[in-house]
Parts: sequence; structure tokens; C-alpha cells
Amino acid sequence: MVKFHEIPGKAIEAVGRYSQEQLEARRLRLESPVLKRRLEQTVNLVGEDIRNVGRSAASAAWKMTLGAPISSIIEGTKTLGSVIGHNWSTKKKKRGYTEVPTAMVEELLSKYASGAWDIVKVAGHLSKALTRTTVLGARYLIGK
Amino acid sequence: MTQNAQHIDEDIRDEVLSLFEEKEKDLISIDKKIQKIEEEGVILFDRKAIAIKNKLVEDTSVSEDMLEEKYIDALEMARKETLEDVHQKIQELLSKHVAVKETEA
Repeated sequence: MVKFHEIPGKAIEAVGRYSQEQLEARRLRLESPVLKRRLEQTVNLVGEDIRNVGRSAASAAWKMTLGAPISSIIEGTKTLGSVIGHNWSTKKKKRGYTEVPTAMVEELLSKYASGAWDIVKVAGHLSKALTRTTVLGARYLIGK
Repeated sequence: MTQNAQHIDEDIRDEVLSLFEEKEKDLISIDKKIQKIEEEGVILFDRKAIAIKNKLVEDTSVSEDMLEEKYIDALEMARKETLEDVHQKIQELLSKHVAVKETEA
């Protein structure tokens, strides 16, 4: 065991200074450009991870709130879904809300598409309704 | 477009719009809560990263050779923990949301 009272004052100061220098060297090592870049990358990945979780949650919340179970889509709207899916793929998606209004409108459509309409006509009307829904969704939720 | 088709189209749009209007408050409310959890998650990770660095600087039992490796490992662990924390908070939020919806129903 070190008996500090036996060590002359200057030696204690030197030890203290050395310890501080060692700590500073360790700090600098952890702040190297390589590790800084690594930290930035990890921060970005964390942000991305979190946004993904948020998007899934928002999507789930929309489904719960708007209550549009996909399972209720009538057989005829399956073709419709692919038409809408194509429309969606050309749009810039800000967040993952897309499938929710789609499901909602599909469900609404199922009430109207009683068979008197052919699928092309139904798809045309649905696309318009869906566009309006998207605009609204974006305006309300993303502030665009 | 026939008059009948146009009428139905307007009906669809009206229904979509009124549904959004009716649920607007709910949607905005939960979206804000989700965004708040997201922001808190980022802050949580930042704090963890600072704490990791300070701890490694002070902990001289970690040799200089191991310093970088330990730092990277700790950051990855913090990333995982942060994500788990966010996930848990969001699950709690959604559970509450489900409970409210069930009560309303």
C-alpha cells in the first residue's frame, strides 16, 4: 500500500499530473476522427431504427383508429389493390401510412362495388379518393 | 363519367373526408406521442454515448489497446438498449390506444 504521507509533495503533484495526462490521452483517443465517424454512423442508425419503429407504430395506430381490416376486402378489390399499389409506388413516401388509407378506401369501396361496376371504373374512382386521402393524411400528420 | 358514377365518386370522397375529420384529433394525438417517443429515444442514445465515453476514460482497468474496441461494443449495446426502450414505450402507447378504442366500442 502506498503511504502518501511519505511521498514528497512534488512527487504527489507529478503523479497527479501524470494521471490527468493519461486520462486526457484516453479521452483524445476516444475522440479520434475514426471513432467520431463511427459514433455519427451509429447515431444515424439509431435514428433510422427509431423511425422504423415509429412508422410501424403509426401504421398500426391508423389501422386501429380507422378500423379498416384488410381481411374484409371483397374478392373484386384484389385487382383494384394491385392498381392502387402501382400508383403508390410512383409516389414519394414520407412515412409508412400508405397501406392504411388504402385499406380504408378499399373497405369503403367494397360497399359500393356491388358488381354493377366494372373493375376499371371502380379503380379510377378509388384512385381519386385515395389521392385525396393521401393529401389529407400528409397535411394532418406530416405538416406538409 | 355518367351522372350516377360521378355521384358515387363524390360519395366515396365525402365518406373518406368525413372519416378523416372525425378521427383527425385521434390521429394527430397518437402521432405526436409517437414522435415524442422517437425524439426521446435519440436523446437517450446521445446521453448513453456520452456516459460510455466518460466511463471508459475513467476506467483505467480497460487497457489502451482495448479502448476503441470496448467503445464500439458499448455503442452497439447502447443502440440495442435504446431501440428496446423505444419499442417498449411504443408498445405501451399502442396498448393504451387499443384499450381506449375497446372502451369506446
